[in-house]
Amino acid sequence: MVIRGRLGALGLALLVAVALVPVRAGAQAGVSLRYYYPVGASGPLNKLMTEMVNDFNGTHPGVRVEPVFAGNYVETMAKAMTAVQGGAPPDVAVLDTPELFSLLDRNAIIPLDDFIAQSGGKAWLDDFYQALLLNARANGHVYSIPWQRSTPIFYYNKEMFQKAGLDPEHAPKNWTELVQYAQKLTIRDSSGTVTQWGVEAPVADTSPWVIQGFLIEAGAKYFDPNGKWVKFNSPEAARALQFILDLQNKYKVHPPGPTSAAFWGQVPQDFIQQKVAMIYSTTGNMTFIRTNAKFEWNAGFMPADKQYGAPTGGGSFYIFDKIPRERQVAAWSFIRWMTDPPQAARWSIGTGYVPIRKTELSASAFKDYLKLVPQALTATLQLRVAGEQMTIHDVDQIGLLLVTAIQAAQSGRLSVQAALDQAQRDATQILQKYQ
Amino acid sequence: MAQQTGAPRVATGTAAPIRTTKRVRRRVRMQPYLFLLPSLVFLATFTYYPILFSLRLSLYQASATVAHPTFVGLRNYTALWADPIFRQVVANSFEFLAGTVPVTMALSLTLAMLLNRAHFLTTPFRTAFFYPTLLPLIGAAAIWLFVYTPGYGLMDVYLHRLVGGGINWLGSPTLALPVVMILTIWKNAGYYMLFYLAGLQTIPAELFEAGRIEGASWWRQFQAITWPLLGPTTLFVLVIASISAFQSVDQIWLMTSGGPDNRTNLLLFFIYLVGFQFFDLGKAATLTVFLLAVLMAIAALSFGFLERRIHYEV
Repeated sequence: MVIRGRLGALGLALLVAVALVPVRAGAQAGVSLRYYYPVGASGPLNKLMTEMVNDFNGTHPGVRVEPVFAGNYVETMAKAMTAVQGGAPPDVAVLDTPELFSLLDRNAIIPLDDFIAQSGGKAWLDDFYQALLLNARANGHVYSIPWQRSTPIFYYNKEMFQKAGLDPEHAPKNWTELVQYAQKLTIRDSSGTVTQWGVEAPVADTSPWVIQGFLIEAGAKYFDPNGKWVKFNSPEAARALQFILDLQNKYKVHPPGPTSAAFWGQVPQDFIQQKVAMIYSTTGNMTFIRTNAKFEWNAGFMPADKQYGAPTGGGSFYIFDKIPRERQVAAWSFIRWMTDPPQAARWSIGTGYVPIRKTELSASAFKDYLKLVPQALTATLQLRVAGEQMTIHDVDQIGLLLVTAIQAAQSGRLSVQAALDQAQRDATQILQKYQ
Repeated sequence: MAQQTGAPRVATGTAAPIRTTKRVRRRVRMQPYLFLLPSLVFLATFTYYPILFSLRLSLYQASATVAHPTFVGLRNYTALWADPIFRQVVANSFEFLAGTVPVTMALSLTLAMLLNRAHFLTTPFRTAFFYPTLLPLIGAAAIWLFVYTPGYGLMDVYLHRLVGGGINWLGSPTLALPVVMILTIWKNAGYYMLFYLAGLQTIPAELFEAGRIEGASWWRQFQAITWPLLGPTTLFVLVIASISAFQSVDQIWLMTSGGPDNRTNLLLFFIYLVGFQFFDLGKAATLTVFLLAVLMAIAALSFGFLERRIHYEV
């Protein structure tokens, strides 16, 4: 009895051991890559990504990419960082582009200059929109290749423009015009309750993204390209934040109070429900607006102050350090294939993300797409005047300080200058360790 | 107290016959521990080890900037006290506790007493009040996110005539936390109602009968019979509700992300931010130790202090 029991246990243990051996060991001798990717909105995007990876695997017999859907940007970053700390980094990943310095601080990624040189060097790189590469660079190296990139743009309801006697073909060009338009477009009922807002801008929800467009427009130099300092309390930055408060409290053309986390999702909803005439929102919402708006709409640049400006956003490809060289090479072949114009165009069309390369526009599929959604061209054109999204050390922590400052000013707890001064003090303290 | 003294006697195994061989006696003594072993393995892996690990990590500087964690003694703890956001988070968390626990308990007790009688509508009502418990919190929060949408959310549509429309429920620093509390109360009241219903069922009907014969009013009966005899239930619900208040995170994550201006940033959400977004593991561990201390204090206070004043026997 005893022996049989032990044999049985041994057999069971063997069975478990066999079951646990990775299936990939049985596959061909090629290189296998672990690829982490985030999807902001699951569903069709996830399906498209899987299809594209399968197409790559089908055309590249020596390489097998195993896609790992890792949640949203924050979750994917957390997963990748945990894997790095555990000594088992992924091979290639799409991560939020401003995480550059966080990844460098952990020695998690490698520079891509050598690979770029082998792939056509400057000529190859110059085909990408330069605005998208601004926060791929640090210390003279390129660390990431743009992939699912977006930017905030200005959407407006053409029918409301017509009713208000405004030119429906053109968005307001600058902040002064924005105020004039918004005043004409704000409608109140007899009791004074607003039934239609002029404009909505989710300037700071959980991260300070849209506000950066206003900062760039006002001419604020609010962070160090090398990631070591920020300047939140300059007169230009104060002017930008004061303008937001004026829209809310002085002109009363924007809903009052802090722009909360819920506001980010509410803004495009309000737009399609015709509760607001003009909104700032991501290019990523263009498909949502196109499919749900029961009225004529158009897109324009974010109105200018001293200059036009919009931050870029979204994810880029990174290759990880501390993995065998052959896998890094294979990872690069995957990135190159994915960002080739036909594939890049397929992704832009399928998702609504902005084109990443100039030659993408001449792909026939993209031309057809522009016939269907001419507004998508506005986003592409705005890339020429777009600025860099804040990319610094401890970017999430310092971003939250800026969000807090903006919301404190919007709620009236602090004055504009006091709020920005405090964010500046706290940020300087955090960044001290990098000086 | 009978249950309490009864339990250990079985566990010690002294009831074994005197004339047994050593081996048998040992087996008898081992048996209870063997039964406990599976739970112990799970508790050790998922509770005790992480607690010890967090305690140790809280003494280290372990953030994105340092390649290897360095020992810093109690510096994480002193730094925490100097952090104004931490102080705000603690204040928020206690406000959340004070705003949700008493109201939830009063509501669930009231519902339980109303639904304790047999009536043809009792079952539908019980189901209706219990159903929020069946929803995942994250789903409930998504529904309430819509309820609170300014302009066309349910709240604004119905309160429009009373208080005027366009109220930015989740964006207002004064309203955001209360508004999240309302969702939490709605979500939990039905669950605690079940405990109170069970508690009410154990009170013998004769007591109320005797009360009525003596001419005691409804309020007198509640004071003298219902409330004292529900003591153990109330204690249990109080502990569970307080701990759950301190562990609230789903609704914050989905509805407010701690904003606006950190007004809804609660302890567990703050730990998530610091640990998984800022990657400051040392500080996150320190916060975890603080949370643990608060939870243990709640448990100690309830079971050590309040229990002495509670009747367990009928």
